[in-house]
Amino acid sequence: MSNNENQTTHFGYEQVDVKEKASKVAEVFHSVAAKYDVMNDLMSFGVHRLWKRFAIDCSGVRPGQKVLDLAGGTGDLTAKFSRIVGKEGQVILADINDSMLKVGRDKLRDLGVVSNVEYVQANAQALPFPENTFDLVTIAFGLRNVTDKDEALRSIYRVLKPGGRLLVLEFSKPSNELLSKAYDMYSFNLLPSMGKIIANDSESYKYLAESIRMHPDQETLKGMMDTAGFEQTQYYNLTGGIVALHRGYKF
Amino acid sequence: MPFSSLVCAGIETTINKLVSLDKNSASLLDTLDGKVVHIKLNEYKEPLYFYIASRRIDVFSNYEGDVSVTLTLGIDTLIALKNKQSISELIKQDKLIIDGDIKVLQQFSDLLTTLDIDWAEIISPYTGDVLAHRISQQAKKINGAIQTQGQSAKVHFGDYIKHEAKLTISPLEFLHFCDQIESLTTRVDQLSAAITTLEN
Repeated sequence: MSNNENQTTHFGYEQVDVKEKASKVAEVFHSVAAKYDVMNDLMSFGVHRLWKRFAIDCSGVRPGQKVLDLAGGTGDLTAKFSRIVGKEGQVILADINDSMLKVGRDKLRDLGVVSNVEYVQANAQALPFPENTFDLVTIAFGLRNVTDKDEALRSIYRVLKPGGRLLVLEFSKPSNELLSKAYDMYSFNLLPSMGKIIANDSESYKYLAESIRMHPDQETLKGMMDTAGFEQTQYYNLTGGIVALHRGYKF
Repeated sequence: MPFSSLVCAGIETTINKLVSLDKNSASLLDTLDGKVVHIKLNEYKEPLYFYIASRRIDVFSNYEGDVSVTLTLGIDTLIALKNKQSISELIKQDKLIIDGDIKVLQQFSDLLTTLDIDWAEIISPYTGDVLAHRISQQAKKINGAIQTQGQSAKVHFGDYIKHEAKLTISPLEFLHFCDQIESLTTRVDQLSAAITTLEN
C-alpha cells in the first residue's frame, strides 16, 4: 500500500519514492517487451491464454460496443475484442509503456487487425477520455504495476458508461496452502532463472514475482472496487487462486 | 470456468485449422460473417457459442449479444446432423430443437460437413509429391476397406444372432406373432361381449 506521509510505495519488495515507481516499472517493461509473449507462454505453461479466454467469456461484449483494453500490452485481448465488436465497434489499446504499445501494434497489424483498433499511450490513473465513454474496460495483469490503484479504479469508473463493466484479471492469492508453497518455490527460484536464460534479464522477473506478492488479495481488491463506486463486484478464482478475475458494474 | 475455456480453446483451434485447410470454405465463411450459432448439448452443461467474423470462428462459453440460431441436442444427434435429410426427422422426434434462423444452421453445417481437404497437398512439402500421392491413395484404400469390412461384419453379426444364436427373430416371425396377438384380441373381445350378454 502507498504511504502518503513518506510518499513512498512498494516496487516489488523495495520501497521507492512515489514519483519513481512509474519509471521503474517502465524500465522493467522496456526490458521485457520483445520477449513478452514467449515468456508469458513459458512461465504460465500456456495457461494465461485460458485465463484471458475466461475474461472474454465474462466480458459480455457485443458488436458495436466500445472497449478499452488498459495495460493491454501485446494485444491478446484486443485482438479478440476487435473481432467481436465488429466494424461499428471500437477497441482502444492503452498502455503506459510505449515499447509494449509498439510491440502490440506490430503484432496486431501482422494479424490483420487494423480497422477498429486505436492505440493510446495513457496512464490508468488519469485516463484521457471523456466520462461515460466505454461499455467495457479491461485491465489484465496491469493493475499491480499502477502506483495508485484506488485512483486508477476511480478513473476507470469515470470513463465507463452506466451499465458498463470493469474486468480486472490479475495475479492473486492461491487458496490452497500446498499450492501456495509450490507456487512460491516456482516463482522465486525457477522464474528468475528462466528470465535469465530466455530474456537475459532476471531482475525483471524477480520484480514480477515480488510485485505479485505485494498485490492486494481477492477480498481486498473487491473492497477497493466497491470503494471506487463499482456495484455487484464479484471475483472468480482461476487455477486455484493464482489468478483472480474481478468484475464490477457501473450503474 | 477454466475447464470450459480449455474445451472452447480446443474446439476453436481444431475448427479453424480444418476450415483453413479447405480452400472453398472462404465463401461460406463470408456469408456467415457476423452470425452467432449457439449450441446447447444435453451431455455438457456449458453452452457453446460459435461466433463467425472475418473468416474465422471464435468459440465462447458465454455470449450476451444477439444469437442467430440456437440448437438444443445430444451429441449423437450432432453427428446425425451431417445427413441433411434427417434434420426434419430429428425435429419430429424431439431430438433436436431449433430456435432462430434455420438458414444459418444449414450454412454452418455445410461449412463443417463439406470440408474438402486435399491431404496429399498438405503432406507433399514434407514427403515429396510421389510419396504424398501414394500415402493418400493408400489411406483411401484402407478407409474403403475398413468401411466394407464394417458393413459385412454388421451383416454377419445380424445373421449370427438371428439364425445361429436365435437371440432375435426374423421379420416374418414377428409379423406372425402380431397376427396371433390380433386374433387373440378379437377372441377376447368376442368373449367379453358374450359375457356381457349372459349377464344381462
